[in-house]
Parts: sequence; C-alpha cells; structure tokens
Amino acid sequence: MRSALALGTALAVCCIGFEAIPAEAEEPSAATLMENVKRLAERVEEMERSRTEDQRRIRELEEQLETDHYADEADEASVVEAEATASESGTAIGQGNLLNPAITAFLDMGGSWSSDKDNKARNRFTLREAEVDFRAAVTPRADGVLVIAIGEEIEDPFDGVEIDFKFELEEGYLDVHTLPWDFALRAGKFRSAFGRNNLLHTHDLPQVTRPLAVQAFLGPEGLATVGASLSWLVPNPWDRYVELAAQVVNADGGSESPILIGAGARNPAVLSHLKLFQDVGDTGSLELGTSFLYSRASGDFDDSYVLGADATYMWRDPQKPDFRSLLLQGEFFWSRSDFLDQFEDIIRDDNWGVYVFGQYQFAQNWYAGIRYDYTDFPNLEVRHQTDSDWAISSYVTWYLFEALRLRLEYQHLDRDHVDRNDTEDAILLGLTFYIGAHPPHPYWVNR
Amino acid sequence: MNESRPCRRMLAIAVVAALMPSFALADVRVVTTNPTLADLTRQIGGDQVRVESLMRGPENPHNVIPKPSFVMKLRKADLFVHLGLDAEPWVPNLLRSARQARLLSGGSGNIDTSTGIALLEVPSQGELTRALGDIHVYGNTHYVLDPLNGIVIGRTIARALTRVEPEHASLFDERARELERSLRALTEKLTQAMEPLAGGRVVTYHRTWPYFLKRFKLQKLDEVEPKPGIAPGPRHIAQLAEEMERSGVGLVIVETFSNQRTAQRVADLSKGRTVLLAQEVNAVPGVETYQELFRYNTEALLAAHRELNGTSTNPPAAETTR
Repeated sequence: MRSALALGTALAVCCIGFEAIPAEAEEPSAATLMENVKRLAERVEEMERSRTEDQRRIRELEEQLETDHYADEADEASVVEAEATASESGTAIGQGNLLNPAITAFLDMGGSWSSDKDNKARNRFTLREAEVDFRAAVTPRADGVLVIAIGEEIEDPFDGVEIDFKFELEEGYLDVHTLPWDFALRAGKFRSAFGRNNLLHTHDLPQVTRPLAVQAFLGPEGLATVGASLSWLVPNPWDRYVELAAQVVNADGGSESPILIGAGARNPAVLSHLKLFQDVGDTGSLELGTSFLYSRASGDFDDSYVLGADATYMWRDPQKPDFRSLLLQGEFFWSRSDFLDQFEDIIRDDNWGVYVFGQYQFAQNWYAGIRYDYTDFPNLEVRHQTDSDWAISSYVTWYLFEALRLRLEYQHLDRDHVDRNDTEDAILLGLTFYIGAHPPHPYWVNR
Repeated sequence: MNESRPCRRMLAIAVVAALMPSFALADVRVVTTNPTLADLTRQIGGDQVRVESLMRGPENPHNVIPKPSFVMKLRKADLFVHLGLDAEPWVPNLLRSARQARLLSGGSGNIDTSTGIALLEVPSQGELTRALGDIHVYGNTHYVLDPLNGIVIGRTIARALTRVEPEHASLFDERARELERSLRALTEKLTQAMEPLAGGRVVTYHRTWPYFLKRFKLQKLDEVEPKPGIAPGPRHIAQLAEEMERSGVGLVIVETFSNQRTAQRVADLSKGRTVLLAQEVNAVPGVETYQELFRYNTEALLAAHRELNGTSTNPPAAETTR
C-alpha cells in the first residue's frame, strides 16, 4: 500500500515537471509563472487530501483484517469441530450415539467397626450401592430420567444372615420441567417430595447413614413410589420463592415405606410439600418447608397421615466462598394412625421423630459435622409401638477429588426395645465416587 | 349513587397513573451468570436494560450454588446471558427449575457468549478423561480475559438486545462499536505498558489465564495446580518452586477463588511473589468494569514485577528452552 502511494506521488511530481519544463523554455512572463505556482499548490493540496483519505482507508482495512482474523479463527474452530464430529459419526461410534443420555455411575462402599458383635451387618466391608443415572431431553421442555440401583441387601442380620445384591429401578420418570404459568409435571417412579432428606440418593447423603426418623417414617431408603407430581411456583406480592407440590402416588408399591405399608393403606396416597426460600444477607439462605402425606382407610386401619416440617440454613463466607461454609438442617416428623387391635378396640398410635445436623466446611475439601437423631416407629411390623431409638453421630468428610469422597463417622446408637435397652458404638467408613457426567444434586449438598 | 362515580374515575386515573411509569420504563431485563458479562451488557444496553448477575465476583464460576432465589431472578428475565460451553455446570439444572421456555438452551432469550470466540486449549478427543483433572471438554472457558474477546461478546449481546428491542437497534449497535473502540485503544495502551514484561514467564494457580497471557505476550511456565481443580501436594509445590528458581521466574498469578496460602508458599519457596488478579469484574474491590479489570491486572503485574526486580527495568530472562 505504502509503495503504491510513493509511486503515485513520484508520477504526479513527474507530470508536474513535464508541464513545467516547456513553460520554462518559452521564458514565461511573471503572470504565467504565478499561474503555474498556483496550479502546483492546488495539485499539492489535492494530493495531500487524497493521501489523508488513503491513510484513513488503510486504517479501516487493517481493523477489518483483525476482525476478520478473529472471525476466521472462530470459523476454523467450528470447522475442526464439525470435521471431528463427521469423522466420528462415519466410523465406529455411529450417529445414534451422539444423542445418548448423560450417564453417571456412582459407587458407594464402606465398612463398619462396631461394638455390636451380634449384628451380622456390622464389622464387615460393604458395597452399599452401585447406581447408574441416565438423563437426557425427551422434548425441549421435558427430560427423561432413569436411575438403576444395585444395592446390598442384608436379610435377617441377627440370625442366619443372608447377603445378596438387589437390582432396583430407583427412579424412572418423565420430568416436564417447563410448563406455562410456572408449572412443572413429573410422572413415573420418583423420590417423593417429603421434606429434604428424602429427595437424596444414598451417594448424596451428608452423613454415612440416612437419619433414623427418615428410615422409620418413610422407609430404609426413603419413600419412592410410582405416581404423578405437579409443582407450582406460587406468584406472590413479595416476590419470594414459594413452591407448592402436590403428588398422587401408589401407597402399596415401591420401596418398603413403613407408613403406607404398615398402615395397610389403600391406593392412592396423597402427598404435598410447601417450600419457602429466602436469601439471608449476601451469602446466606434459609429454606422452610412443610410436608403432608395421607393414606386412606383400609382393612383394620383407619386413615393415617404423616406431617413433616423442615428447615435448612446455609451460609458461605463472602470472602472465601469455596473454603468456608456452614449448613444447619433439621426435620421433624409426626404421624397418626388408628387401627383395631386383637380385641377389636380402636388403638390410636401417634409417633414422632426428628433429626438435626450442623456441618462446617473448614478447608476447601474438608467438612465436619454432628447429627442428632430421635425416632419412634410408626410401622408395627418393624418395631413395637412403644419402641424408640436415639443416636448421635459426628463425622468428617474429605473430597480427595471432585468425584471422590471419603467419610469417617462415629455413631452412638441407643435402642429402646419393649423388653430391653441396648446401645451400640460404631465407627463407619464411607467411600463414594462417580464416573461419567457431572451429576445434578440439590443446592445444599456439598458438590 | 352518582356522587361515587367521579370518585371511581379518580381512582381509575390514579391507578393508571401509578402504572404508567412502569410502562414508560419498558427495560429489557437481563440476568447474567457473572458480573463480567453483567458489565458488558450494561455497556451495550445502557439505560435500556436492567442487569443482574447471579454470581458474585470472588466466586469460582465452576462451583456456584444454584439457589432457588436464582429462579426468582430468572423468572422475570427477557435474556439470560451465560458463558456457554461447560464453563458453568450449574446452569442447565437452574434453567430447568426456572420454568421459562424462552430461557432454555435454544430459546430466544438464551444468550451464549462463547459464540464466535476462538477457544484456546481445546483438548483432542483422546484426551478427554478425568485423569486430567477437571478439564473442560470444549476448551478453556476463561475467554473473557482477552480484552479483544470482549468485542465479540459485545456484538453478541448487542444482537440479542436488538432482537428484544428492535427500536433501539442503532443505539445498541453504536454502543457495541464504542465498546470496540474503547477495548482496542485500551489493549494497545496496556500492551505497550506491559512491554517490560513481554515475553517473560509466570506461574498461574489455576488454568484461568491463557487468554490474558497470550494477549499481553506473557508465557506460562507452569501451574500451581498439578491438574485443573486438583490441589497441589507438598512435593509438587517444592518441585514447582525449584523449577521457578531455576528458570528465574518469580511471579505467581492467583485468582480470588484459589488457595492464597498455597500460592504464597510457592512464592516464598521460590523467592518470588504472588499477584492477586481479578478473574472477574467485582472479584477485587475497585474493579467494577470490564476495562478496569484489565487496567487493574496489568498494573498489579507491573507493580509486582518492579518490586521483584528492585528498581531495575530489565525484562525477566526469557529462556528459549524449558
């Protein structure tokens, strides 16, 4: 560009020169000379103008070039990506696999060292559960979720112990997550929205064991049955998060849910959960919830219901959000069922249970916590009407890597049977990891 | 009976009048994942937008907790501006909870700012395994740290805002050009200012800085994290410090979400020093705009460099071989 400009200037000078020379030969008058000088000045002025114009143009082109370079780089990247995809689909993997669901496999294992030598489920290593989680979009507004679990089943731990692996469809549902007017719909088998802990899969639990009250009221692994759920973000003038969920679920099928099976419930059972969420300050949050589960009368049983209340407070250090956090959570359960005893008398059975825990993150990958448990037993097939247990556990959780967690827990358990009272001290070890896609989990679960 | 009519009319007028301002201020409501995108949106949208960031500045974009209160912010948003790729793994789940079809991936209000960005550190297919740590499958996601990428992001945002408010198209377009001019001038000025450091090498804590380093002609010797997202052990720290001393590298760049103490240990062992840089707008006090981020970061690096080399202005020795 510059050399072209120089050439142009030289040519222009030459032209002026040629015009000037013959004029000189004729010995021009002062007036012609003046005329020539004026013309020359005009020419120079014009050239100056065109030079400024050229420079402006060059600057523009340079800028354009740089922008294009950016665009080119981006285009190149997308071309490379497209090529990679094309070559892959042409060969071994096949086009169909590109739409495969996100797959995560979890393995949850551990062991225990316990003072209870009679319990065959203790003092051994266990592979508690292997779980495979598939999820993908079915439609733009709906996801399909399939969770298959293979869990260790210990039958009759105090007698002829029998250990087996049980295959179970833990969850399998269509999740229509985006509906008009802030509704969402779920259909299939899913973990019921009763409280907070019940929504967690075993590998997401904040402690090694599930809280005793959740086990007693909703089942050893919580409540998950087949049904449908409708949830709604309730509009409110305060612009707060208020979510109301209503679920209609099978009262018979699914996992061993003590309150439903124990009460000999009739189909279907109805469940509802109300959740309020509020930010507290810059980095804290408080969630409050109430739950209600109702099953109709059947056989010797009258209607039975469970009420629940839960609270979760979470705080992260505003300066070091990834290094310091605090989690406090508590849940309360209360149930009532009326039934006929062997003398045809109506017996009213009220039960309650509670757990609370606090957990502090004291380093980037370290958490320590303590949990208190108390529970009655609403399922008469499991324990006697007057039985109750309490426990206190403290634990340390260490994330060696994002996908690998180690947990050490000490638990003191006090069982109050109708005819005896026994205690157990145990050290529990948990090792959990996942492979595959980054799995989703509730906001208050560490990671 | 009739007397109440004027009263009602007055009430109706009052109600309409009360509602008027909210119609007049028909802003575009934008929610961004981080404060950097929020500032860029503000620069393009001006008075025509209301912007809110979900994340706070010092946070690690990969580890944000998607609280239910985020859902409330998203519900009213016309646009949701995010980094795209796999930079923010918490986003897809959050969008599912928000129940707004326009904000879902592929929806008209879902704005992915990685569009048109030339990514660095794109892993080859064979490399994709967690054995490499927390790697990003599409390439390094910290592309906002090249000021010239801000131009591309600005254009993406301007296009998105134009879709929502076509009547202000020329305004958004002009502001995108203004942003471009401002960023080009800034980049030129800062590149010149960074001349004493050009070609020199640094250590970074996390793999946050390749775009920044490339733009300002710095090279990376190594990272404090042995692999992305994996905390270094004592042996790695010792080896790194030794490597730094051997190569005459003294600067350890650390971001607000990384372990400052570990970085300090590396600096102490290698007789170097740490430099806390803003990886995000609002990550450190005083960095409130995209432009300020680069001013702050280059000044911090220059200051650290001066301090490390006493008063001498010699560039750090850039070895040709590692």
